[in-house]
Amino acid sequence: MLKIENLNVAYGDVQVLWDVNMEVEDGKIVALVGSNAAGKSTTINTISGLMKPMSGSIIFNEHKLHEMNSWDIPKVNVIQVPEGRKLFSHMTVRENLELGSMVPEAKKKRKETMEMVFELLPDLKMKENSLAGELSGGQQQMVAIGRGLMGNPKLLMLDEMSLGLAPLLVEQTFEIVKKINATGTTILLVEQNVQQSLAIADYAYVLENGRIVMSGLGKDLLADENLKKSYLGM
Amino acid sequence: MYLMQVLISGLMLGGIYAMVSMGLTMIFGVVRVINFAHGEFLMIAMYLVYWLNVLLGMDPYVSILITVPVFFVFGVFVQRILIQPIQESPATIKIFSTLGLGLVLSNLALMLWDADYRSVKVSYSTAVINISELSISVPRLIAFIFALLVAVFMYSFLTKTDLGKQIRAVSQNRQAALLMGINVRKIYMIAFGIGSALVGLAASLLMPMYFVYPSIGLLFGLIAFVVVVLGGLGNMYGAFLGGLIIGLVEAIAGAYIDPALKEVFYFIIFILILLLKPSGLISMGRGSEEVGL
Ligand SMILES: Nc1ncnc2c1ncn2[C@@H]1O[C@H](COP(=O)(O)OP(=O)(O)OP(=O)(O)O)[C@@H](O)[C@H]1O
Ligand SMILES: [Mg+2]
Repeated sequence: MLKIENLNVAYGDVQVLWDVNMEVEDGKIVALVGSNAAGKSTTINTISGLMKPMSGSIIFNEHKLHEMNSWDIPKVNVIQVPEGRKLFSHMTVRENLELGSMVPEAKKKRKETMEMVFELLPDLKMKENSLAGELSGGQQQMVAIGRGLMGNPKLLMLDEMSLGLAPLLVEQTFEIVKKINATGTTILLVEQNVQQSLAIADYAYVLENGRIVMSGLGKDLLADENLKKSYLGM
Repeated sequence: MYLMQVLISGLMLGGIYAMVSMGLTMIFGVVRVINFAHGEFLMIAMYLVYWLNVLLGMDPYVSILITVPVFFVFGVFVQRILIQPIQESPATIKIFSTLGLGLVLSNLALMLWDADYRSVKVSYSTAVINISELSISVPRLIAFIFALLVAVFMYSFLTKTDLGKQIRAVSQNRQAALLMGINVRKIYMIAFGIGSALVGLAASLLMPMYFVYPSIGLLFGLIAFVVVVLGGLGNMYGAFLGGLIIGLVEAIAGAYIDPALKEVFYFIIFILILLLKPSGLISMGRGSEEVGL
């Protein structure tokens, strides 16, 4: 289980997260939604160790993530698929996938995991020798997800995976997330696409100007007209 | 026939330039630091070869076994001690620290070993192989063969091994590399180490045919910068080709115009590239001018 307590984070002097408290239970899909610049990416970047908090704690199965180097965090199977994909664009799809499995435990299982990834994302198999930078947006997003899976995540955090994709592809990516979750992987979904995220989420948090302003079961929030109007501009 | 002779000797000299430049471009592409002390690293490495020869009677080619590991470790230390603390600082600070390191090294050499030109005495330094009417200098040929081997080795290392792939990954997207669990600081040290080790190798190959003196780093540093810009910043294959091209240009200019003007030609090439194709000779697609490899 992931447990975030009283998390405060700043860029220099500018604080952007204020007393954030969140829990992500094993095996669940949890959504973190909120409008532009609410602090969603900052939250998962802090979980991934790219940012160090001013105060507060992030605990994942006894591991104090807030005290760890970012490169040690994939070793405890907490993996982020970053916003904007951040692929190694001059490298092939296969190389990108391999780079997802550089920590010792994942490396041992590289072959099996890659077969599993190709089964889940068959487009990647056909493109395995293409340069990642030459693929379409949708294919690139699949590479990013596949690369994340290569690290054998217990907790997979997906940041704006549907951003800029055509509606049909958005649908597909959400289906894929459900499939990944069905294999037992916990999901933390960071999205501006509120409707669809809440629809597949077991639980959700609403972040606004760096504070959690609401939380509840996905389906309850989805039904809450007030929430949609006041925070999500829907 | 004379032209052929000139081209061959230029190409072979270019092998050395390629090696030094591949080191410089590796450091730039991965660590994002321009090592203005690169030429001075070479100078110190040449003194190491010289003293190993004078004091221990070690053959310059045997000294490869020492210069390569010693300069790998030296590069790792420079990264760890000098660069890492300022890794996130503005470019100017990094420029001043490597420039400063270069000045310290060349002044140290001047203080310890005077401005004298020193060379190792080996039987084969003027040896030539004659193929019909062409004569090829043996040390140049050996250096060229090593340059080819190094290029093949680096290519396989960077494309076939996990460590090599991690190095390329860091050069392409350091944040994504961190998210993959790659220890970016360690990769920086390794890249700086490899870049310096290449200089150590070049020194061992140069000493049978070159003098060493405290300011020789300036000359080789300049050449390496021209080559790296020619090949595209951070681009290893570009650096290899660029090194050969600069070797050829130097030989042609020396044979047909005036050897004393060779630096002028480096600058002309430098300025032409910046004007005509600032991303370098070999473009690896969109964005490669920034990232390379
Ligand atoms: N590198 C940075 N330096 C300074 N401020 C930053 C930086 N990155 C983000 N911020 C600021 O922090 C706040 C939260 O940004 P964050 O990227 O976490 O929001 P987000 O919810 O992910 O937004 P988006 O929907 O645009 O992805 C914003 O006000 C943003 O301007
Ligand atoms: Mg964001």
